[in-house]
Amino acid sequence: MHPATGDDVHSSGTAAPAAVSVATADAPALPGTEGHEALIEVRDLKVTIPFRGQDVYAVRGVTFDVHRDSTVVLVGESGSGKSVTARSMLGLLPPATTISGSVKFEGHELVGLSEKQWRQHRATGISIVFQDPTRSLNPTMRIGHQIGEGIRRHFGVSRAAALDRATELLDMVGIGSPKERVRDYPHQLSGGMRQRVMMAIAISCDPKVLIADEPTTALDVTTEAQIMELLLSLQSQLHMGLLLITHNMGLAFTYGDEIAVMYAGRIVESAPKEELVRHVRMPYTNGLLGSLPAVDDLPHSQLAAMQGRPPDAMTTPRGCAFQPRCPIAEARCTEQAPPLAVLDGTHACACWYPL
Amino acid sequence: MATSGVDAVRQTARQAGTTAPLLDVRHVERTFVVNTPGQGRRKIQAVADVSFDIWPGETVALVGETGCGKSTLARSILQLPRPEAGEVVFKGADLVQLRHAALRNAMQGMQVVFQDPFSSLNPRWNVLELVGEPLAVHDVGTKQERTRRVEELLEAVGLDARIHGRRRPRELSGGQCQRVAIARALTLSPNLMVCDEAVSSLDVSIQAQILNLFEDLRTDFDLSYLFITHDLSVARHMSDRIAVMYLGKIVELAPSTELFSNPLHPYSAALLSSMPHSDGTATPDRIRLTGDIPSAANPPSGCRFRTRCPFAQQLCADVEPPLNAVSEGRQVACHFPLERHTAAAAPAGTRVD
Repeated sequence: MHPATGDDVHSSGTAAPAAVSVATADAPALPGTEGHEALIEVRDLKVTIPFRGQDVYAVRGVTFDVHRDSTVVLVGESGSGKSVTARSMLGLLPPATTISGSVKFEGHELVGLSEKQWRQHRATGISIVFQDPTRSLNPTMRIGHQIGEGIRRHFGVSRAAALDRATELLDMVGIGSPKERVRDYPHQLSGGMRQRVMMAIAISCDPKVLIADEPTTALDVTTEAQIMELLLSLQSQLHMGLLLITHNMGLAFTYGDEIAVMYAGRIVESAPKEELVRHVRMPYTNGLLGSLPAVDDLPHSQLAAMQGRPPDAMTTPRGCAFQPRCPIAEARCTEQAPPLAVLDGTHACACWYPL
Repeated sequence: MATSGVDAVRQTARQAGTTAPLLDVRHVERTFVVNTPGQGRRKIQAVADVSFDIWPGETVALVGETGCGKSTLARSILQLPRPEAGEVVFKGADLVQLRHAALRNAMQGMQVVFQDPFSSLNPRWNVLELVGEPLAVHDVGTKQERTRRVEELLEAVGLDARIHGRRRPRELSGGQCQRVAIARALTLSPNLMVCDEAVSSLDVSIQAQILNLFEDLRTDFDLSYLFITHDLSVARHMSDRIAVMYLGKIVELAPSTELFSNPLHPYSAALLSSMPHSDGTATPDRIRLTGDIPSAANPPSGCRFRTRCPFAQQLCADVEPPLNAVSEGRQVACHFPLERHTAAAAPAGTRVD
């Protein structure tokens, strides 16, 4: 019996029957994922964090699913709320945070859990790879020990057994000579290798969902490609749901199955990748893509830059948050905030005048 | 076959009567001595024998990954501090030989914009003071003239002296701070602006605004740029020529359009093919590099790139390839430069996907 909800605890879902995600006004069905169960269901999540006496409305109502064997990308600029959304799935927000709405993992409600209850879901249910491995790894512990820590805690195995498993995991994440490397300290590894160690830690307890929060931002472009491919390979080997958080549109479009664009704490557009590549509907997404320097631009040409900048997270805009920067805004946009509406089966957009 | 971009720049320079580059960097070296417990005293060759030039009106981008030495090279050019060896000839004078007032005067024509807008501005000064400081230090004009110049410059970078003038950096956004840094760099009417990852810390939508600003200023103020970036799309967009650096050396130098359409050095090709595309397409003939960047304290013998190069041969370990001119405006440091399509040139058994 689950302590928080009183539900009967679900058995580990490797052979679970397909739970199809029904298309509602809030969460459009993802094509190709019928038959893939929804591991995480987020419904109208709102997160408010107090900061120096003021409230920061980091997330203002977000709804989406993460399915097994599928990659959802939350893409947005700084302040869009994507990282806070991810951290709410692991209980990694400051204690004074106010969270409303629902985040369900395999049917269990995660909002409102105690720290003790959270520990049942972290590592074995949901795991995370952070942006900067240098800051996330303990510099005074050998990497084998750090990888083994979670394994020992969750599965109660001996130190020797945990070290063996850590060596296996190092091999899985592509680190050569794992038997020797397992005794290294983080500072003896390059940035790319440290990120691989982070990934080994993240998968050490066989999670169902892996969150990758800007996993390659601190890495060079050649290492980035290697790490992203490793991430996808691990996902497919372990049949995980992957939630990728990034500000890099190129990464989003290369590695995402479903892309959700965030702006000012809300999802403003979401669609399967092929659909979004074919037809962008939200002026913000369009503006963002248009302002990226492209390889076939003429040198010294002007970029189609958007004017202005994202709104302050401490204010609540009236109407659409993007309106001050929107090239096609009308009067209605200042009066009423458009809801995230499904335009056709798979493509949702929060705009009164979608493109 | 040179591109029209580079030709146009040279032609303008010739018409203006200049036959010499604005900046001529020759055989610059910058070595750091590091003393770590357990590893003893080591020499790190951050910049090892680098030469290139920038002509008036030209933008040259310096690209490369972490540890390639591009930032160190930029600082050596700016004499922050001066390099141990080599020459940095700017407007005809070798900066490495100058000191004190002579150096200060010569450096007026070269200014810099750094990566982090918040740490490069004094947090206790307001915008007017920050932009006005160079004029005060060099005793330019009267106080009134200086105030007017500051207002003009703020307008040129898209800020309003009346609105932003009294604000301090923490009251500004990243993009606004960077605009202040740019205005400050323009106060002494420089000929060359060194931009060291000047847009890397900014959000994507703000990056576009600042890049456009750089282009506008280029034509309005007749500027040349040395643009350091790890982002190849930005480099392609901004520059006439691109120099690719690896572990302290320039491995390829080419007009930007040509580098992208036809890279000759395997490392350039690998960088280009690693870039994720925002239309979801994968790059054909993607070159996958194996391994990590070697330590700059102990670079590989011969060609520094050979340990990760899918096409390396014995010669590459024995002899360091010099940076050779292969055609007008193109230089490559490689014993086996790539032909037009990498798949055709790859030796058997190498990984080219």
